Amino acid sequence: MKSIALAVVFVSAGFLQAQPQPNRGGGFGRQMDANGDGKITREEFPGPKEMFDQFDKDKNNSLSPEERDAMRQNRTRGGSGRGNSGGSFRRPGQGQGNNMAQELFGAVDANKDSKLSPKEWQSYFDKILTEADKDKNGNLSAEEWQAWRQRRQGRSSGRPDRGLKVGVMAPDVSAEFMTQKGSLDFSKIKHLTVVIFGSYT
Amino acid sequence: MRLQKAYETFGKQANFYWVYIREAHPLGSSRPSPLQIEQPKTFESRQEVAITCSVNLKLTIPMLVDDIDDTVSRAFDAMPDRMYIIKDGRIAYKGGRGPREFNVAEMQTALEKMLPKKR
Repeated sequence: MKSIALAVVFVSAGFLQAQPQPNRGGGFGRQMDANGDGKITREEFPGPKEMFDQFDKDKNNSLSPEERDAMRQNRTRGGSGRGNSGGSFRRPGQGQGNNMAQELFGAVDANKDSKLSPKEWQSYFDKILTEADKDKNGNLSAEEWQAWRQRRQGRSSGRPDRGLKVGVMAPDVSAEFMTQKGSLDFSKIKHLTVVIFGSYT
Repeated sequence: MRLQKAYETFGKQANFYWVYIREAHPLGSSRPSPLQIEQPKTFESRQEVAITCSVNLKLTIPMLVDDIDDTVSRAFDAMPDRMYIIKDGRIAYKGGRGPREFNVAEMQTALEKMLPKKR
Protein backbone atom coordinates (compact mmCIF):
# COMPACT_ATOMS: atom_id res chain seq x y z
CA MET A 1 0.00 0.00 0.00
CA LYS A 2 2.77 2.36 0.96
CA SER A 3 4.65 1.86 -2.28
CA ILE A 4 1.52 2.71 -4.26
CA ALA A 5 0.96 5.86 -2.29
CA LEU A 6 4.57 6.95 -2.60
CA ALA A 7 4.54 6.35 -6.30
CA VAL A 8 1.42 8.45 -6.64
CA VAL A 9 3.22 11.33 -4.95
CA PHE A 10 5.96 10.95 -7.51
CA VAL A 11 3.55 10.92 -10.41
CA SER A 12 1.64 13.85 -9.04
CA ALA A 13 4.68 15.95 -8.22
CA GLY A 14 6.41 15.24 -11.47
CA PHE A 15 3.57 15.63 -13.90
CA LEU A 16 0.28 16.75 -12.52
CA GLN A 17 1.56 19.93 -11.00
CA ALA A 18 3.88 20.70 -13.85
CA GLN A 19 1.11 20.09 -16.39
CA PRO A 20 -2.13 21.07 -14.71
CA GLN A 21 -4.06 21.60 -17.95
CA PRO A 22 -5.83 18.55 -19.33
CA ASN A 23 -4.61 18.02 -22.82
CA ARG A 24 -5.48 14.90 -24.77
CA GLY A 25 -2.57 13.31 -26.45
CA GLY A 26 -0.06 15.57 -24.70
CA GLY A 27 -0.03 17.11 -21.23
CA PHE A 28 -0.52 14.56 -18.54
CA GLY A 29 1.84 11.67 -18.97
CA ARG A 30 3.70 13.18 -21.92
CA GLN A 31 6.97 12.94 -20.08
CA MET A 32 6.34 9.29 -19.34
CA ASP A 33 6.13 8.62 -23.04
CA ALA A 34 9.88 8.32 -23.50
CA ASN A 35 9.84 7.39 -27.17
CA GLY A 36 7.11 9.92 -28.01
CA ASP A 37 4.78 7.47 -29.77
CA GLY A 38 1.70 8.73 -27.88
CA LYS A 39 1.44 5.59 -25.76
CA ILE A 40 2.87 4.75 -22.40
CA THR A 41 4.15 1.22 -22.23
CA ARG A 42 4.55 -0.78 -19.06
CA GLU A 43 8.31 -0.13 -19.24
CA GLU A 44 7.82 3.63 -19.59
CA PHE A 45 5.32 3.91 -16.74
CA PRO A 46 7.12 5.03 -13.56
CA GLY A 47 4.31 4.10 -11.13
CA PRO A 48 3.44 0.78 -9.55
CA LYS A 49 2.32 -2.19 -11.57
CA GLU A 50 -1.09 -2.22 -9.87
CA MET A 51 -1.82 1.30 -10.99
CA PHE A 52 -0.85 0.51 -14.55
CA ASP A 53 -3.12 -2.56 -14.50
CA GLN A 54 -5.99 -0.53 -13.11
CA PHE A 55 -5.96 1.92 -16.01
CA ASP A 56 -4.87 -0.34 -18.84
CA LYS A 57 -8.48 -1.23 -19.54
CA ASP A 58 -7.94 -3.05 -22.82
CA LYS A 59 -4.96 -4.96 -21.35
CA ASN A 60 -2.72 -4.22 -24.30
CA ASN A 61 0.18 -3.29 -22.02
CA SER A 62 0.12 0.34 -23.04
CA LEU A 63 -1.84 3.36 -21.91
CA SER A 64 -3.67 5.17 -24.68
CA PRO A 65 -4.43 8.92 -24.43
CA GLU A 66 -7.96 7.97 -23.27
CA GLU A 67 -6.65 5.70 -20.54
CA ARG A 68 -4.24 8.42 -19.47
CA ASP A 69 -7.14 10.86 -19.28
CA ALA A 70 -9.00 8.46 -17.04
CA MET A 71 -5.95 8.24 -14.82
CA ARG A 72 -5.61 12.01 -14.69
CA GLN A 73 -9.27 12.45 -13.81
CA ASN A 74 -9.03 9.83 -11.15
CA ARG A 75 -6.03 11.61 -9.66
CA THR A 76 -7.78 14.97 -9.72
CA ARG A 77 -10.84 13.57 -8.00
CA GLY A 78 -8.72 11.95 -5.33
CA GLY A 79 -6.83 15.15 -4.66
CA SER A 80 -9.77 17.06 -3.25
CA GLY A 81 -12.55 16.37 -0.82
CA ARG A 82 -12.56 13.92 2.04
CA GLY A 83 -12.60 10.19 2.23
CA ASN A 84 -11.00 7.75 -0.09
CA SER A 85 -13.76 7.37 -2.61
CA GLY A 86 -13.52 7.02 -6.33
CA GLY A 87 -10.83 4.39 -6.22
CA SER A 88 -8.12 6.98 -5.80
CA PHE A 89 -5.01 6.83 -3.68
CA ARG A 90 -3.93 9.25 -1.02
CA ARG A 91 -0.57 10.58 -0.02
CA PRO A 92 0.84 9.40 3.29
CA GLY A 93 -0.22 11.74 6.05
CA GLN A 94 -2.92 13.33 3.94
CA GLY A 95 -6.05 13.25 6.08
CA GLN A 96 -7.00 9.87 7.42
CA GLY A 97 -7.41 8.14 4.12
CA ASN A 98 -4.14 6.29 4.23
CA ASN A 99 -4.59 5.12 7.81
CA MET A 100 -8.08 3.91 7.06
CA ALA A 101 -6.90 2.13 3.95
CA GLN A 102 -4.14 0.43 5.92
CA GLU A 103 -6.50 -0.50 8.70
CA LEU A 104 -8.94 -1.96 6.22
CA PHE A 105 -6.16 -3.88 4.51
CA GLY A 106 -5.07 -5.32 7.84
CA ALA A 107 -8.60 -6.25 8.78
CA VAL A 108 -9.36 -8.01 5.49
CA ASP A 109 -6.00 -9.76 5.16
CA ALA A 110 -6.92 -12.63 7.47
CA ASN A 111 -3.87 -14.83 6.86
CA LYS A 112 -1.54 -11.80 7.03
CA ASP A 113 0.30 -12.60 3.81
CA SER A 114 0.03 -8.96 2.70
CA LYS A 115 -2.29 -9.95 -0.12
CA LEU A 116 -6.03 -9.63 -0.37
CA SER A 117 -7.92 -12.49 -1.92
CA PRO A 118 -11.57 -12.59 -3.04
CA LYS A 119 -12.12 -15.19 -0.31
CA GLU A 120 -10.78 -12.83 2.36
CA TRP A 121 -13.02 -10.03 1.13
CA GLN A 122 -15.99 -12.36 1.19
CA SER A 123 -15.35 -13.59 4.72
CA TYR A 124 -14.73 -10.04 5.90
CA PHE A 125 -18.05 -8.98 4.42
CA ASP A 126 -19.78 -12.03 5.91
CA LYS A 127 -18.43 -11.03 9.31
CA ILE A 128 -19.81 -7.51 8.93
CA LEU A 129 -23.09 -8.96 7.75
CA THR A 130 -23.58 -11.06 10.89
CA GLU A 131 -23.06 -7.96 13.03
CA ALA A 132 -24.82 -5.36 10.91
CA ASP A 133 -27.65 -7.04 9.00
CA LYS A 134 -30.33 -6.32 11.58
CA ASP A 135 -33.29 -7.37 9.45
CA LYS A 136 -31.43 -10.54 8.33
CA ASN A 137 -32.28 -10.07 4.67
CA GLY A 138 -28.77 -10.96 3.54
CA ASN A 139 -27.66 -7.50 2.53
CA LEU A 140 -26.86 -4.16 4.12
CA SER A 141 -28.98 -1.07 3.76
CA ALA A 142 -27.33 2.35 4.02
CA GLU A 143 -28.80 2.70 7.51
CA GLU A 144 -27.51 -0.67 8.67
CA TRP A 145 -24.08 0.12 7.31
CA GLN A 146 -23.98 3.52 9.00
CA ALA A 147 -25.21 2.11 12.31
CA TRP A 148 -22.54 -0.59 12.21
CA ARG A 149 -19.82 1.96 11.51
CA GLN A 150 -21.05 4.10 14.36
CA ARG A 151 -21.10 1.20 16.78
CA ARG A 152 -17.52 0.40 15.83
CA GLN A 153 -16.35 3.97 16.19
CA GLY A 154 -18.15 4.22 19.51
CA ARG A 155 -16.32 1.15 20.71
CA SER A 156 -12.95 2.56 19.77
CA SER A 157 -13.51 6.00 21.31
CA GLY A 158 -12.79 4.83 24.83
CA ARG A 159 -15.61 5.90 27.12
CA PRO A 160 -18.48 3.44 27.01
CA ASP A 161 -21.68 4.76 25.50
CA ARG A 162 -24.29 4.93 28.24
CA GLY A 163 -26.83 6.60 26.01
CA LEU A 164 -30.47 5.59 26.14
CA LYS A 165 -31.34 2.72 23.86
CA VAL A 166 -34.02 2.96 21.24
CA GLY A 167 -37.31 1.67 22.65
CA VAL A 168 -36.76 2.57 26.31
CA MET A 169 -39.04 5.06 28.07
CA ALA A 170 -37.86 8.66 28.14
CA PRO A 171 -36.18 9.25 31.51
CA ASP A 172 -37.89 10.93 34.43
CA VAL A 173 -35.78 14.08 34.44
CA SER A 174 -36.63 17.68 33.69
CA ALA A 175 -34.94 20.90 32.64
CA GLU A 176 -35.98 24.52 32.92
CA PHE A 177 -36.73 26.66 29.90
CA MET A 178 -34.04 29.22 29.18
CA THR A 179 -36.14 32.35 29.00
CA GLN A 180 -39.70 31.50 29.93
CA LYS A 181 -40.87 30.12 33.27
CA GLY A 182 -41.51 26.44 33.66
CA SER A 183 -39.73 23.22 32.87
CA LEU A 184 -40.01 20.23 30.58
CA ASP A 185 -40.38 16.77 32.05
CA PHE A 186 -38.88 14.38 29.53
CA SER A 187 -40.94 11.43 30.75
CA LYS A 188 -44.12 13.33 29.95
CA ILE A 189 -43.33 14.11 26.33
CA LYS A 190 -46.16 12.85 24.15
CA HIS A 191 -45.68 14.64 20.84
CA LEU A 192 -42.90 13.66 18.43
CA THR A 193 -39.89 15.54 19.79
CA VAL A 194 -36.31 16.12 18.73
CA VAL A 195 -33.97 16.77 21.66
CA ILE A 196 -30.59 18.30 20.92
CA PHE A 197 -27.90 18.44 23.59
CA GLY A 198 -24.98 20.78 23.28
CA SER A 199 -22.95 23.59 24.72
CA TYR A 200 -21.48 26.77 23.28
CA THR A 201 -17.97 25.41 22.92
CA MET B 1 -26.45 26.13 11.01
CA ARG B 2 -27.92 22.84 9.91
CA LEU B 3 -29.92 22.17 13.06
CA GLN B 4 -31.58 25.55 12.85
CA LYS B 5 -32.48 24.70 9.27
CA ALA B 6 -33.89 21.33 10.32
CA TYR B 7 -35.98 23.12 12.92
CA GLU B 8 -37.30 25.54 10.32
CA THR B 9 -38.17 22.63 8.03
CA PHE B 10 -39.75 20.24 10.55
CA GLY B 11 -40.62 22.53 13.46
CA LYS B 12 -44.32 22.45 12.64
CA GLN B 13 -44.49 18.66 12.57
CA ALA B 14 -42.29 17.89 15.57
CA ASN B 15 -41.22 19.69 18.73
CA PHE B 16 -37.59 20.68 18.93
CA TYR B 17 -35.74 21.40 22.15
CA TRP B 18 -32.13 22.37 22.58
CA VAL B 19 -30.82 21.43 26.00
CA TYR B 20 -27.89 23.57 26.98
CA ILE B 21 -25.46 21.37 28.95
CA ARG B 22 -21.99 21.54 30.50
CA GLU B 23 -19.41 23.31 28.35
CA ALA B 24 -17.22 20.86 26.46
CA HIS B 25 -14.20 23.13 26.02
CA PRO B 26 -14.23 25.86 28.69
CA LEU B 27 -11.28 27.97 29.77
CA GLY B 28 -8.85 25.98 31.85
CA SER B 29 -9.73 22.66 30.19
CA SER B 30 -7.22 20.68 28.18
CA ARG B 31 -8.51 22.08 24.90
CA PRO B 32 -10.16 25.43 25.61
CA SER B 33 -12.31 26.89 22.86
CA PRO B 34 -11.29 30.23 21.31
CA LEU B 35 -14.70 31.47 22.43
CA GLN B 36 -13.15 31.73 25.92
CA ILE B 37 -16.11 30.59 27.96
CA GLU B 38 -15.71 29.75 31.63
CA GLN B 39 -17.46 26.66 32.93
CA PRO B 40 -20.58 28.03 34.68
CA LYS B 41 -20.61 27.17 38.36
CA THR B 42 -24.19 28.11 39.13
CA PHE B 43 -27.46 27.53 37.31
CA GLU B 44 -27.84 31.29 36.76
CA SER B 45 -24.46 31.62 35.10
CA ARG B 46 -25.24 28.57 32.98
CA GLN B 47 -28.45 30.28 31.92
CA GLU B 48 -26.49 33.38 30.92
CA VAL B 49 -24.09 31.40 28.74
CA ALA B 50 -27.05 29.58 27.19
CA ILE B 51 -28.61 32.90 26.23
CA THR B 52 -25.33 34.19 24.78
CA CYS B 53 -24.99 30.97 22.84
CA SER B 54 -28.48 31.08 21.35
CA VAL B 55 -28.16 34.76 20.43
CA ASN B 56 -24.73 34.43 18.85
CA LEU B 57 -25.63 31.29 16.94
CA LYS B 58 -28.96 32.83 15.90
CA LEU B 59 -30.89 29.84 17.24
CA THR B 60 -34.64 30.02 17.50
CA ILE B 61 -34.99 26.41 18.66
CA PRO B 62 -36.63 26.53 22.14
CA MET B 63 -33.86 26.18 24.67
CA LEU B 64 -33.75 24.38 27.99
CA VAL B 65 -30.95 24.60 30.52
CA ASP B 66 -29.68 21.57 32.39
CA ASP B 67 -29.19 21.95 36.14
CA ILE B 68 -25.73 22.44 37.56
CA ASP B 69 -25.51 18.75 38.56
CA ASP B 70 -26.00 17.82 34.89
CA THR B 71 -29.00 15.66 35.73
CA VAL B 72 -30.47 15.58 32.21
CA SER B 73 -27.13 15.32 30.46
CA ARG B 74 -26.20 12.31 32.61
CA ALA B 75 -29.53 10.60 32.07
CA PHE B 76 -29.06 10.84 28.30
CA ASP B 77 -25.25 10.46 28.31
CA ALA B 78 -25.30 13.59 26.22
CA MET B 79 -21.80 15.01 26.64
CA PRO B 80 -20.40 16.69 24.63
CA ASP B 81 -23.33 16.78 22.22
CA ARG B 82 -25.95 14.39 21.03
CA MET B 83 -29.46 14.12 19.55
CA TYR B 84 -32.43 11.95 20.39
CA ILE B 85 -35.93 11.66 19.01
CA ILE B 86 -38.71 10.81 21.46
CA LYS B 87 -41.89 9.31 20.07
CA ASP B 88 -44.87 8.10 22.12
CA GLY B 89 -42.84 8.62 25.29
CA ARG B 90 -40.02 6.34 24.15
CA ILE B 91 -36.62 6.83 22.61
CA ALA B 92 -37.19 6.40 18.88
CA TYR B 93 -33.80 7.56 17.67
CA LYS B 94 -30.49 7.75 19.44
CA GLY B 95 -27.81 9.80 17.76
CA GLY B 96 -24.12 9.12 18.24
CA ARG B 97 -21.94 11.10 20.59
CA GLY B 98 -20.46 14.26 19.20
CA PRO B 99 -18.50 15.66 17.75
CA ARG B 100 -17.50 12.69 15.63
CA GLU B 101 -20.81 10.88 15.55
CA PHE B 102 -23.11 13.89 15.69
CA ASN B 103 -24.95 13.50 12.41
CA VAL B 104 -27.73 15.95 11.57
CA ALA B 105 -28.48 14.32 8.22
CA GLU B 106 -28.95 10.93 9.88
CA MET B 107 -31.28 12.40 12.51
CA GLN B 108 -33.26 14.15 9.80
CA THR B 109 -33.68 10.93 7.82
CA ALA B 110 -34.89 9.15 10.95
CA LEU B 111 -37.29 11.98 11.73
CA GLU B 112 -38.75 12.04 8.24
CA LYS B 113 -39.59 8.35 8.54
CA MET B 114 -41.49 9.00 11.78
CA LEU B 115 -43.62 11.80 10.39
CA PRO B 116 -47.14 10.94 9.33
CA LYS B 117 -47.27 10.18 5.63
CA LYS B 118 -48.52 13.01 3.42
CA ARG B 119 -51.59 12.19 1.38
